[in-house]
Amino acid sequence: MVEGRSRRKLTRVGLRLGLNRTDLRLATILLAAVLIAFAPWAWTRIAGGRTEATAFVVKVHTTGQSLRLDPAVDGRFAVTGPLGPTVVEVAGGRARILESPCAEPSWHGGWVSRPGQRSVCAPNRVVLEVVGEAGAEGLDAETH
Amino acid sequence: MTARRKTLILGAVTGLIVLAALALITGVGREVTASSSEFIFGTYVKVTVTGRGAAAAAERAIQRMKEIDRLFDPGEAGSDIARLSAAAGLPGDVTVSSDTLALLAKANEAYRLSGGAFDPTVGPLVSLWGFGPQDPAVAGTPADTQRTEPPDAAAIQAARALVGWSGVRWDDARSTAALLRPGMALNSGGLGKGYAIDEAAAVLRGAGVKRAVIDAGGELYLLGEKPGGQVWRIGVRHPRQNGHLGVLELGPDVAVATSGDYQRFFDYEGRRFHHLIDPATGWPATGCRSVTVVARTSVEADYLSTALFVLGPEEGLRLAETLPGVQAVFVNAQGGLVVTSGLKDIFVPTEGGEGGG
Repeated sequence: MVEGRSRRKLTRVGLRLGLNRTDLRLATILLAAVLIAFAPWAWTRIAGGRTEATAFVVKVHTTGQSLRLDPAVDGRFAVTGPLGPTVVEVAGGRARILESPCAEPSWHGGWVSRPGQRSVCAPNRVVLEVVGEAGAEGLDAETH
Repeated sequence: MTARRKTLILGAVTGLIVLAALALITGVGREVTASSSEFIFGTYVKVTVTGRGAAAAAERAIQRMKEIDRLFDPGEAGSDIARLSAAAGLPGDVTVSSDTLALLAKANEAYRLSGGAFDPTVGPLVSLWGFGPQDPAVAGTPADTQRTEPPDAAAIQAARALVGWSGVRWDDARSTAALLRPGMALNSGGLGKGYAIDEAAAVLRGAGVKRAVIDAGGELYLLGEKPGGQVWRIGVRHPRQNGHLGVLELGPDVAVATSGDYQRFFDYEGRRFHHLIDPATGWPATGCRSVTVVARTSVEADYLSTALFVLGPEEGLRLAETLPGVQAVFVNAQGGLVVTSGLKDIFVPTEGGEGGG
């Protein structure tokens, strides 16, 4: 048998290194223990290795109400802040605060599309944030 | 080698490997990042801290900023700034906090440095233009009416008469301050937020924090270094398009602030009227679309971005070049980029990122 032969060969190598059969048995058990110990970490690397997909998260700071929007799905979505509804528009992979019950819509700053960018309606306590991997630009923050 | 010793060595090596695996899984030794956010100064503030005790430190920094906001908020009746404005021209000085005295000292520095282009008493003009402080969700006050056309010349002249730094008096020893003429108003905008960010950074340092980002509505302080001595990469928003004008590559412990004509504005007869009012004319400054300043403290970055915007790209650039630790990116009225000499290596313009469009 091939398996039996390679096992005998390993045993011979082990014996030449000065290890006896008990040592080898112990080493095998310990090796198995190490593999089992690393298994969850290896699994998280394999399963979690994919990059986080970009998404638009709309949150009402006062209530914690939150929406997670797919950039691929165009549409208009509303959340309710202390002053009333804020409508977020998603179109062509970008998002913006379209309507909000505040005096100055110009505050919202237009479209956002890249992770780390955000648009805020301060009076209505609504934050629209782009989440996801930083991408090639790898920015830490944005000044505006 | 005895069998016993071999077994011991094998056991020890394997034990270490198992411990390393456990550390990887549980995250022992991995740096923790936590953030705390709140609406302060009428804007969204987020403090992100990396290191031990990150969450508690971020929260303490936010609390310090809220404390300062309560002192400087003109819409909050009991705040130092509101009490000073309410007592303008009346006999008797107003007792104020040490934070307000520190703010007045910084305001004085900003006024002198900019030759009056930054004037903290510009409040009456800013309100006349409809860009006064407002935060109805917090203060319970009605929002300013959004203007759709400029105020008339007589009203601008009348408001200008209420502007003037010489009308502010303060006494550090007695902890008092006063506005000398009736109708005067202090405007902590362009200064107060920067002061609060610096105080938040001091709280973080006091808590032993080595790395953090304080982001107050796009006004930033970058505390400490990134891992491996990498630079902080900061996108500078394009004043007219979705996207960035360029990227600033910055070292540790720097502040960044931007003033732009796209932040608060209305358009009238094809012209843009925005919130950055030139105290000398009473009208919105016309030399720039945006100015981004890099400085050693947030209060400097904050007031300089306003001052350089008002001064315009030529005079502003001349002033910025004389200030230690200060760099600036201007987008002039035509959309052209103008940067200080020290920024040439650390500002990377986005392809086609001229400020036009």
